[in-house]
Amino acid sequence: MAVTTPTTPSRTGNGMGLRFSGAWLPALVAIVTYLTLPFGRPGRPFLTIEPDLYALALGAPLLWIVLLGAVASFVVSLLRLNTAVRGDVLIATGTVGLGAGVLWFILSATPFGIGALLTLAALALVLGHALSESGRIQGDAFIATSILVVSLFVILFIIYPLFTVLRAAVIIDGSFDLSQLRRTLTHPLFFFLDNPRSQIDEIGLTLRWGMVVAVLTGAWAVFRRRSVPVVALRLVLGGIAGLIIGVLLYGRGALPTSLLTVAIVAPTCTLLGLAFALLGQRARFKPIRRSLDVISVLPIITPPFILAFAMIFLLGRRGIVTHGLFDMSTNWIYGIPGVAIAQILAFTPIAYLLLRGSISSLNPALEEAAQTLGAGPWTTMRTITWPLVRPGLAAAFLLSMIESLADFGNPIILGGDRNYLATEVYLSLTGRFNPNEAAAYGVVLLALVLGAFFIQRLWLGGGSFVTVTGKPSSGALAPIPRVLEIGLTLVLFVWTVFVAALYISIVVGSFAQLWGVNYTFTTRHYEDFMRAGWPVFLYTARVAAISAVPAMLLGFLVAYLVSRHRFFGRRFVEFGSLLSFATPGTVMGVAYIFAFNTGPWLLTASATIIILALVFRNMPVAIRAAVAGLAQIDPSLEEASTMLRARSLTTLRRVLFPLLVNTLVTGLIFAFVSAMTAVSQVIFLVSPGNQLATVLLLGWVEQGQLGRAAAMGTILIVSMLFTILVVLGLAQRISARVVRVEG
Amino acid sequence: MKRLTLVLVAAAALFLSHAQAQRVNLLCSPDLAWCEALGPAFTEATGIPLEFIRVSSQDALARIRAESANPVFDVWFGGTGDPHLIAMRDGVAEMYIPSTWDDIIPELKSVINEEYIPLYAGAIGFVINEEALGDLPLPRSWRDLTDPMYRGLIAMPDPTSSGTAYTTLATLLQVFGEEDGWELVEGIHMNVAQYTSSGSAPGQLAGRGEVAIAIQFMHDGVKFAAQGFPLTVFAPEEGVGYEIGGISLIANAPNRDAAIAFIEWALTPEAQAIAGELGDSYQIQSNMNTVQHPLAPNFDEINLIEYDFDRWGDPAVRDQVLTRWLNDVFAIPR
Amino acid sequence: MDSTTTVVKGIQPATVDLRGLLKRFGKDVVAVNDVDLFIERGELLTLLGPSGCGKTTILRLIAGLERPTAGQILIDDDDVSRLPAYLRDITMVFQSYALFPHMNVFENVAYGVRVAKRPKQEIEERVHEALAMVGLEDYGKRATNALSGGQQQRVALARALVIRPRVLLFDEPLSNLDAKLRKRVREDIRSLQQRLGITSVYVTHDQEEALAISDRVVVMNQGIIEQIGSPHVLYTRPASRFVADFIGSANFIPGHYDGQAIDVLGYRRPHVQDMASGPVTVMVRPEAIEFAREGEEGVEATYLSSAYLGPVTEFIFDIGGVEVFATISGLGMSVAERGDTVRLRFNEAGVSLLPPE
Repeated sequence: MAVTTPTTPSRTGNGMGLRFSGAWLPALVAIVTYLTLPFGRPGRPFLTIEPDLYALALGAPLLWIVLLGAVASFVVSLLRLNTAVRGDVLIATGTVGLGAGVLWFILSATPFGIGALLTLAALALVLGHALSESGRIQGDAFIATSILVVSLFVILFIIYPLFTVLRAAVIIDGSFDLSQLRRTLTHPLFFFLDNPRSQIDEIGLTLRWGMVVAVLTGAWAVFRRRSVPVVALRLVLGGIAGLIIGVLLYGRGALPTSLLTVAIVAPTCTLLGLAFALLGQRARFKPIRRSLDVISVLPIITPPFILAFAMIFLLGRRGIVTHGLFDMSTNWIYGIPGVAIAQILAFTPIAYLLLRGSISSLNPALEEAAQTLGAGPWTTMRTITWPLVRPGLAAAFLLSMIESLADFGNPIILGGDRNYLATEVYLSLTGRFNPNEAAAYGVVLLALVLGAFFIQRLWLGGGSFVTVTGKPSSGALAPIPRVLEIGLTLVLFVWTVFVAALYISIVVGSFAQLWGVNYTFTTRHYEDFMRAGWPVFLYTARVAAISAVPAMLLGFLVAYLVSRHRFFGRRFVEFGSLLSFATPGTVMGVAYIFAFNTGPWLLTASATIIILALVFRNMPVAIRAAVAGLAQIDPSLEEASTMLRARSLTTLRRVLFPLLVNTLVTGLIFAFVSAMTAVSQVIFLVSPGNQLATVLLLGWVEQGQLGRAAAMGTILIVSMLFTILVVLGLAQRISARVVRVEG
Repeated sequence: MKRLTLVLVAAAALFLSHAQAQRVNLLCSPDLAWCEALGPAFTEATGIPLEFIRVSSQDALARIRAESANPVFDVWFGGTGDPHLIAMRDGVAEMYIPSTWDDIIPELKSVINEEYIPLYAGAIGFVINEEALGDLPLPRSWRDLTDPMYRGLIAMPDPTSSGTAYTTLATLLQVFGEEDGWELVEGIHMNVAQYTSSGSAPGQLAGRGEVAIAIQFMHDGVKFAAQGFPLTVFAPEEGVGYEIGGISLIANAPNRDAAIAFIEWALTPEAQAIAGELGDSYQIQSNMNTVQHPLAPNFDEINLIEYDFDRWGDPAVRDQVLTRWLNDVFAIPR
Repeated sequence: MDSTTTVVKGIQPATVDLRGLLKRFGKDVVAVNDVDLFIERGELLTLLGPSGCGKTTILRLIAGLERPTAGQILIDDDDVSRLPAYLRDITMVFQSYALFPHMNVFENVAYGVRVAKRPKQEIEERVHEALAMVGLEDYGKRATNALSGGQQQRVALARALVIRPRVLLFDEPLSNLDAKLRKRVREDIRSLQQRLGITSVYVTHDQEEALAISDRVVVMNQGIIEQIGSPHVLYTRPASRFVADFIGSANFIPGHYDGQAIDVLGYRRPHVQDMASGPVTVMVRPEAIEFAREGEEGVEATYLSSAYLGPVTEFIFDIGGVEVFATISGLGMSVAERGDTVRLRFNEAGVSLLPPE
């Protein structure tokens, strides 16, 4: 059946193109699953064969169109047409089938069954083949399907859940209503300044701060002989800055508390991170680097609130240091000081990791060049070093800021009489059962985080977040001045001792009869853990492992698509992964509850929803790792493979995977470990039989089962450390073998 | 690509084929040790597996409401009575009359108008670490707690998440009347170091000396003292309210038969004895045939108030109290 | 590479036809601007031009690594404009060789047949055949990074040939080699291409390489084709100032043409070219300038400077206000002083006419 169209020349005997479309197989699968498997399900269980819920039994016109689309796709894919023309026809049939299916679910709000899942996935594959063969998307069916699926995932598991949060904040009982948002934002729990019961006059003090700072900045501008409009502007800006300082200092409620904590934590983390990075890259004393490597791994392997809870034992009212050593009895760690310290301990290593990259990518030749051109050390610092380190500092600052705002574990343990935005999300949903209020807090938190993100991007200009990679330059770096090195080493020493004391106190606590009261040795807590925690621990490990594989694969796929292909929607996919990276865990957790509790996407109370949450939470980490890895590989290797008629899946498998084993395994391990230690994003999602170790651990801490919690914490930390060391060691050995084959 | 299609199909089928058998999904609000002891004993008695999650009673009510369209849990075990009452009145839990109904202590049934199944009873009290109190005098009454000398020394649960704390609020409002009651609540708030989300956690804090005074159920205090914490437990002189913990069948429970089997089992004397023997829980158990644990606080020695369960369990009243506490008390900086 | 007539079985060279090809990157950058080009069966056609002229983009469009914004690409008679790269029976040799670092020479060459799932025996036969063609029979077990640059490029060539492409594309394959090696490898490529008769498109920015290797050369500038022709035609009859300047070096002197001869400042020189009478720009190659002997016609020029380079001497003269470069063999007039007046004549072979400026 040869069809000749006027626009496309007829094919010769050995013409290029495909005789059949590759879409025939997925189309056939779609037809078979449509006919043999149920389209809906009655409740949560997936594999109930309910005769009423077969697509044919449901008899909805839209479902007939799904079948029609699948059958048409199958027939068309076998027609001997010009490949591109056939592709266009298949796009039409595939879209009709897929679209009708999706529309039916949206309209009928039936929980999807396994048949629907498979049929629609197969139709997406049909569409992928069609888009590729028609030439609408450059790349083969795999690339086209991947683009399609990744975009769908971003919509379904990132954008849509966040949209439900926004919706819940402003739509109450089905109508648009800003009253909840207003009530939340004017509530004393959120923010208030004037407190009639306090001894001090908050408003007056705040105004005084505004005036003082305004006068100071104005005076400075006059001193620098600026023009009148500039002085006036400085005066106003200074006044605003002063008022903000005043509000943060004297205001109460979640907003000023969270922001004040951020204002303490983010600069401190950035500075400490910079100090450690300088020390690590330019210190003369080598063991310092080794110890910094260990420090940088600690927060990844430690559930976020463990340090907070160890701090109570060191620094609390009855703390070993505060009470035992100095005989003090204060509650000072409950509140901003304690939360800030815990966050600084947890997030400085993250800042360090970021800054290590930008310090090590500093080319010493640049500094030398500046000095040979007659620039003094300070001029060099200001004109060369600072602009080069600035993006790293900004990134570190931003990340500490996001982490601090999103942190949930530390405030819930050490918050004391202060409340935080992230914990209010949790408490308003679980305690006060006000989903709209939780959504309102979520919106505020999201706005703050995304605002910070976009301000940073404006400041640094362009540069998508997935392409931020630094390739370390070779060459010896000039050592830092000796005085500075000694000073920084001292800081590092104090830090190390403190962190070590915290970790030791956890281990000690796990063996102490009654922590804080009776320090007789016992293994009772480990027995308790084995009984009550071990099954949960195993289950968590299983869920984390299951989630790590798709997180890594998806992250790799996104990185590959974004960095190697140009396609419509690329920015969107980048934006989606940015969003899932920046969104605070509690907000994403609430979003998943809103999005997946009813309708076609009924997923709550299943392992699936936990795994999905973890996959999309950890995907951005994998993306970053994969982008960095791909940047080291010449794209012409992939093009060479394509030119040798390999499809992209073959190219990925035979060329990129072997070259990226190390990166991929590292990504996998980190996805696994961070899934093991995640709390905020899964705390809403656990259900009977789907309990997670960290959530259980937090519950134990809350209920005062501290010995047992310490035992589980110890086991968690030790096993994660073991995983990282052993598996990463293995990965390095494998990649070493690949290198040996090369040379 | 072809192979990938087939692999995907197979993987999806495997992944989704997690069929669920009958088991009890338990929402468990009392002490963790009790919750943990229930599963093995129940499975041994009936052969039905049990999974639980420990959630404070307020949070539990929130969860049941949130999931009412597609319930996850079958039974809600323990926790203060008012949320059980609300769950019944809201229709998210359903009343089930167990075969042991006649064996349940009649007073417990009558004060709550037989609106839910009583599981145990416990009274509010002070749990005090005299060591941590130092030279300060022992507080004897509710009013003593408002004395500024106890600033930063008191821990109590958060009323928005813990039923224990709500019972405390309701007690104060009943003993002192609305106006004085709120003033007292405010006075205590100024001295509170920490609100915990779990009802039993304040005793832990007191036990370790993080605070000196914990306001919570006396049976929890007794438990901590038994564990070795240096704690004294008593009831303040103005009188204390009490709770009648409940056990409820969730409406539209996914495993209804198993749920009923569990409720039947949980109300037997043998099952109730587990609380004291294995569960570190010393409440008065509701079945009159249960041998009460020797450590269980004796109600005859406590100045119990006439707790009006009907009024204070009413959702509207409850919302009103909690909102007022949140807006007018909790928001006051300390 | 000494046998002269072997034709690898299975290679069926094709024609390539580009029709109105347009490629835009983003909104503003037009990399290839409405290009029409027909590539004959079995010829080696070179795309020559400065970087950014669109030559590599054309190559990638033919390969299928980029999609045209508009226009068609026909291979034989098949419109492949929208066909994915892996279905096009075309292959490419890359500037960076793009050898897979984790595979040895054999595995690299075998890649294409292995991907096509051929039987094991056929894979071995074809790999050996391809390696023999490039003279690397015994290198199969070697790691690729243990080879010299020239050998690596030959492996890349073998790897491309093993799948018996209908069109072979070269993307500046020699630019990573040193000058000496470059000459040898390009001769190897040319002789292999002629022996196999495979249609080839070759991209380079090196005019000498282009002239040496090609059947025809396409000179490109800013996304459009400036001129297509044999190396000889391009050199002797450049169609534009750009082409004249890009291929070799050239002087441009204003003059007048009357159909039989050109006139430069009174120097009349017979010349016939398909060109309208009137003012013209006379292109003169530096090597076509000589000193006029006594009595010969010539143009008055002012001597400015010279540099003695051994075989030749480079002069700079001023002819009617235009600076003119000349390379003249022999001793010439090394004794002249700046400002001396000399008379120069132009050799026919190095003169061509362009429209006036």
